[in-house]
Amino acid sequence: MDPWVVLLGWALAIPVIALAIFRLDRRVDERTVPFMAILAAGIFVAQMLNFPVGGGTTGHLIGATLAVVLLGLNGAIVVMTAILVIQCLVFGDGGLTALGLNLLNMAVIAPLVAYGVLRALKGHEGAAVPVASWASVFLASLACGLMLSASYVISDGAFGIIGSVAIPAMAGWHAVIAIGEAVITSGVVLFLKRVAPEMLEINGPEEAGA
Amino acid sequence: MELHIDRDAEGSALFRFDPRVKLVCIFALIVLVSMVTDAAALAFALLFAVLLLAFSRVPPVQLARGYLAALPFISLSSLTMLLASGPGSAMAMALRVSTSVLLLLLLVRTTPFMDLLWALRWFKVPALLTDMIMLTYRFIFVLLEELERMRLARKARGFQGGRSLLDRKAFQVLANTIGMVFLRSYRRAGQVYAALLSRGYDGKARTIATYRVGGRDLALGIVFVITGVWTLALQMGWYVWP
Repeated sequence: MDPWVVLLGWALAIPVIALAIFRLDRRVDERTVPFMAILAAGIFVAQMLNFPVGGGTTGHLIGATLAVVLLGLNGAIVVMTAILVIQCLVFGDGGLTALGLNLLNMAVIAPLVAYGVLRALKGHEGAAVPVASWASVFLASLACGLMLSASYVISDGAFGIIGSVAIPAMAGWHAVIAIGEAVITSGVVLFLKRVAPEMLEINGPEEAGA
Repeated sequence: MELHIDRDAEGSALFRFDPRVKLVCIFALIVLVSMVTDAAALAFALLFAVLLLAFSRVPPVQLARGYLAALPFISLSSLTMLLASGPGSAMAMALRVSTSVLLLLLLVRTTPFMDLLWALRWFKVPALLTDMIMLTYRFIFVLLEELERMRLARKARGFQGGRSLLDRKAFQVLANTIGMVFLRSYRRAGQVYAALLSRGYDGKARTIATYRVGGRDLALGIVFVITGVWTLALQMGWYVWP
């Protein structure tokens, strides 16, 4: 990645995350933080489960939509941020420079898209969750492809990948993987609706005003 | 699956150094390295990282394991660079990512995780985020054990994992598993909250870390500055020996 693109990633991600933390901070009591943390750990662990895609390849969940459904937009942004920081610091996934762009893709763009779709499709029970999870993964991967090709252009080929390769490869592949995300997220939401409907109602009233 | 990143911290030669100094030095060098394109400069930075790791006495097995975990990422990015922009950039990419990974490993392997978070909080990272990272980190291992039990149970029932996105049964099982992980963590949150309360939790995490920046921290900082300047000099083509 080109340094300028990395810088831009941080510059775009940090204000959104800061705003989410600020908004969340105003309405948390001391109960909320442990509760969000355990859900974050749940998403982290869920990301470790691979699902089959085809031809022997596997994909795994990102979980942004699940986080939005369970915690609302601000909660989801903070939870995804915590997950990505832990992955970066503890498990060395992607490294520190990639963190800014990972944050932008998976902790900002993906939850925002999921939230937007969920709101737009409010009332269409069956469609909202799968469409939101598909769109969140697809658009986040599209953004990633755009960043790679922007890096390539800015640095004259020293960083990044040329756009004609990066964008179709990232977006095309993830359009398929996103189906898995959609199926699993809907499955989890249906499962929770049946088994523990109280979990899905936590973010209802507060989030409308936020 | 269990991961104890704190296990080697106390035995390491860098353990007693102030985590704030380590954090700044290592992050700064990683940022610098991420901008360098010259192979010689990157090789120099990599050499420094390896020497520092040798000095830190972190067990090589642990380091190798951490590096191997990042290897798919390194080889994938280098391979795409090789195809897209030639062997020079691919080589630089491999050196760059390796250096960043090793420096980050150096930081997390020689610093207890709680002290790292304390340092982050000192640098004004919001408490909401650091507290959540701390608690999430503790819960991950609990849930991983849970997941492992569930995986074993799935296997015992003859679950195969499925072959493609069209495998309805596999996805049903996976979705239910993840749903169950959430349900169990949700049920557990109440108990965890009670346990935190009984230990005096009032919505604010406190640490007993006491660090002061001393002479050796200053020395470490100077070593990092020299390395950074030297790397930069190699990158910019300034005349330096050798």
